[in-house]
Amino acid sequence: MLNYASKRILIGIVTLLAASIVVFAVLEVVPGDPARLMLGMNATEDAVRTLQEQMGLNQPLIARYFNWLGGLLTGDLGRSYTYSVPVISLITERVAVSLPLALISLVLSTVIAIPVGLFSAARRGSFSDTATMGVAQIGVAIPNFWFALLLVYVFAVTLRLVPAGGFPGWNAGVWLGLKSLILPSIALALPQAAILARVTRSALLDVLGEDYIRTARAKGLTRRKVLYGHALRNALIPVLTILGLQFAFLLAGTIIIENVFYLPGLGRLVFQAITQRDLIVVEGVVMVLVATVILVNLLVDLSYAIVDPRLRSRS
Amino acid sequence: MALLEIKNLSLKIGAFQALKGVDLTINPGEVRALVGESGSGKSMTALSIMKLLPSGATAKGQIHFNGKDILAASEAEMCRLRGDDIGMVFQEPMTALNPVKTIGEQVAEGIRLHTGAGRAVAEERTRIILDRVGLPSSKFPLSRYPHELSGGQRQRVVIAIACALKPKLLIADEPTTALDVVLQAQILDLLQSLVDEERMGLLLISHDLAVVADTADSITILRHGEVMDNGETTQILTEQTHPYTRQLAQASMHVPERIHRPHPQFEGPLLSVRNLERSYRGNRAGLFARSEDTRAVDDVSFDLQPGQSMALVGRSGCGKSTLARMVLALDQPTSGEILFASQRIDHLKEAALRPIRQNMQVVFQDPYGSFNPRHKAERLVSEPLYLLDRPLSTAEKRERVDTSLERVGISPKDRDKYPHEFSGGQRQRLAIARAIITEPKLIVADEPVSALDVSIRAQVLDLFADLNGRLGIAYLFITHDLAVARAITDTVMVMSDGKIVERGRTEDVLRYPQSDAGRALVDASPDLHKALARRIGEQG
Repeated sequence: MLNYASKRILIGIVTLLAASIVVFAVLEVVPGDPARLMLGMNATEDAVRTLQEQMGLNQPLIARYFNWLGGLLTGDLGRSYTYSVPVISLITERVAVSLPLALISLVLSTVIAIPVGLFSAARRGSFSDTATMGVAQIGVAIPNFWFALLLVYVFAVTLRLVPAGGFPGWNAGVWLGLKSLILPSIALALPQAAILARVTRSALLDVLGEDYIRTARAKGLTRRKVLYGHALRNALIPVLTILGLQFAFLLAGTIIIENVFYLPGLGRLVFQAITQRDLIVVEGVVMVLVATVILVNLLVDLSYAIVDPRLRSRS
Repeated sequence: MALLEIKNLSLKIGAFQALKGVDLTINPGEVRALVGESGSGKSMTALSIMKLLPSGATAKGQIHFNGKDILAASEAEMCRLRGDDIGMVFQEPMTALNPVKTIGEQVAEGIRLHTGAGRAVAEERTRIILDRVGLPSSKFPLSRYPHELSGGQRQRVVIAIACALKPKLLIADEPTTALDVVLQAQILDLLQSLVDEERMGLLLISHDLAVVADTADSITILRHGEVMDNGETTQILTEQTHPYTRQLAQASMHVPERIHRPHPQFEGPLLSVRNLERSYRGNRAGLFARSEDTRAVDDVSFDLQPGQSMALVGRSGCGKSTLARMVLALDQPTSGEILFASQRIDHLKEAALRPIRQNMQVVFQDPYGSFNPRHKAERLVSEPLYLLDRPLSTAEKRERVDTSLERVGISPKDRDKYPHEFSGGQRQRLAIARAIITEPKLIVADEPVSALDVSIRAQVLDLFADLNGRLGIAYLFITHDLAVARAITDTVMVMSDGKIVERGRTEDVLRYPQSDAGRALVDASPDLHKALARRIGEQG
C-alpha cells in the first residue's frame, strides 16, 4: 500500500513540474512581447518598459522560469496588472466561492446518482429502470445554462426562496453564502448526476454478470444483499474515475454557470483575465487548476487502492 | 426417500428448449455424475435445482429436495436452502470469488447468514472448514484475498463456502475442468471424503467420463437436454449399451492412427534449445529490497527433429508456457540460445523474424479468444500470409485459404462465415488452418484441445496426427493432459519448477515414469481403462 501510494505521489509531483513548464512555455511562445500584448496597441514605450521590468522580462528565459517556480512554491504568483493586487489574494478570494460550489455539487451529484444507479440496476429491464434512465438521458442532454435559467425562474423569480444571483461574501454569514450557492450547485450537479447514474448502473450490471455474484447467490444471499454486499464495491472503480473527472470539470468548467449566477468564482476570474489580457492572472489560475486536477487524480488513484486489494499488493 | 428427485423436468429459455423431460435421483451419500458435452443442459439442470436460472427461463416438471417442492418454493425459502442445505461449486475458480473481499469474509458470510452466529463464532467455524479443505489458517490466514491464492487453492475456498454448513446436497459443476490433472485428483478426493464424512449427496457434473469414472456411484448421461443413459457406474461403463455412452467412452480414450513416415533426411535438428533460462525480477519488498528472482525456465536444453512430435507436459505454473513463448520469439530469454533451422532466433528484431515466423506457427487453447470476432474466416485464416516473401494476388490468397480449409476438413464455402457461426471444434480447426497456411515446419500448440468436448477433442487430435503424417509438420505440444500426449506425440519431456526432469519416448515415460513429477502426472491422469479395472476388481 505504502509502495503504491508513494509511487502515485511521485508521479503527481513529476506531472505538476511538467505542467508548470508547459504553462510557462505557452505564455512565452505567445507571439510578441507579453508586456506590449497586455498593455494594448496604444501603450507608451515607457509603460511597456516599466511592465517588462515588473514582470522580469529583461532576464534570461531559464532564470525567469525558476523565479516563477520559486514564486509558486512560496505562494507568490506575481501581481495582477488589471487589479493591481497580488494574484494569490485574488485566487484565494475566488477559490472561497468556487471550491464550496464544486464540493456541494459533487456531494449532491453523488448522493443522487449512486442510489439511482443502484435502483435501476436492481430492476434491470423493468419499466422503472427504463423510465429512470430516460430521465437521466434527458439530464445529460439538457445544457446546464438553460437548466440554470429555469431554476432561477422557478425558485428565485416565482417562489422567491433564494437569490437569483450574486454572492454576498462569507462575511455576510455562512447561511447567506450557502443560500446563494444552492441554485448554482443544483444546476451544476444534476447533469453530472445523470452521467454518474448511468455509469453506476452499467458498472453494476457488468459486475452482476460476474461468476462471484453467482457464488454469493449460491450461499443464500438475497438479490439485495448481493447488490449491496458484493456488487457495489466492485462497481466503484469506474464510478470513482468519473467522479474524479467530474470534480476537475466542476472546479474549472464553471465559467458559464458563474456568469449566469453572477458569482465571483475562479471561472469568472479566468474569463475576465483572458478578456483583459492579464496574463499573470491567467498563468496563476491555470497553475492552481492544474494542481487541483492532479491532486484530485491522486486522491482517485489512492481510493482505487482502498477499494481494490489487488492494487495494494502490486507495486 | 431420495434426497433429490427430479421428474420429467423441462426447461425453456426463450424459444430454446434446454431440457426435455429429465429424470434424476440422488440418495444421501450417493455420488451421481451428470455427464454430457457442452450445451447438453448439465449446468441448466444444476441451476434449476438451485433455482438460479437466467431470466426468461421457465421450468416445468418436478424437483423435490428432501421432500420439498423446489419449483413451487418462494425466493425467500430458496435463500434459506441455498448455502445451507444445498451447496454449489463452480467451474472457474479464478473468477468464482469476490476479488475485494478476504477469503475469511466470504466463507463466514454464509455461516453468519444461516446460523445467525456472531463474528467470533463464525470466524472459528470458518477456520475449521478451511482447515478441513486443506487451507490451514497457520499458512492461509482468513485475511488473505483471492488474488493471493492459486487456482487450486481458490477452488478449495469455494468448496469451503459450499460445505461450511454441511449441506445435504452438494452440486459441483465441472469443479476440476480448469485445473491441472494433479489438482483435479486432489479436489475429487476432497469432495469424495466430504461426501463420506457427512453422507452428503453429490451431483458431480463433467464433460469427461474418465474424470468421473473413479468417483461416481452412478451416472446420468445427457445430450441435447435429454437423458440418454442412466445407471450404476460400473454397469454403464462395462456394458455401454447406449450408443452415445459408447461414443463418449471411446472419444475419451481415443488414440488417433498415425502414419509413421520414414524420417526425412535432415541436416541437424529443426529446433534446438540450449541452456535456456528466463527469470522474473522479484517483487519489491521494501524501498531498496527485492524478494528473490523467480526462474520460470531454468537451464532447459532440447532438440526437435523435423517432423517430430514432442510433448511438453507439466503441472500448471511449471514454466511450460513461458518456454513456448520464448521458442515462438514472443518473449526473450534471460540467457541461453534458441536455434531454428540452425539460425539463432533469440534477440532477433521483428523484421528479421519474419521468414522464421513463416515456418513456425502457433495454435492456442481458446479458439474463440484467438480470433477477431468481426473478421470473416477467409481473412482470419489468411492472416499469416503477410509473412511470405512476396505478396500474393487475391486469387492466389483465396486458393491458399481454400486448400488450408480443405486440409482441416472445413468446406471452402464457409470462408465467408464469422467465428461465432462455427462450433467450438470447427473454430479450433480454423485456428489450425491459419497455422498451416504458410506451410510451416513447426507448430507450437499450447493446450490446443483442453477447452474442447471429448468427441471434438478426438476429431481435432485426429487432424493433428493426420497433418503430421501428411505434411511432416513437427509439433511441440504443451499440455497437462497425458491422454493428449499419448495420442499424438513420439517423445515427451516432463517439466517441473522450470526444469526438464524427465524425457524419453512417450510410451516409456507414460508407462514407467522415473521422476516424481512424471509419476504424479501419470497417477493423477484420468484413465477409463484403469478406473474400470479397479472397479471390477473391487466388486470381484
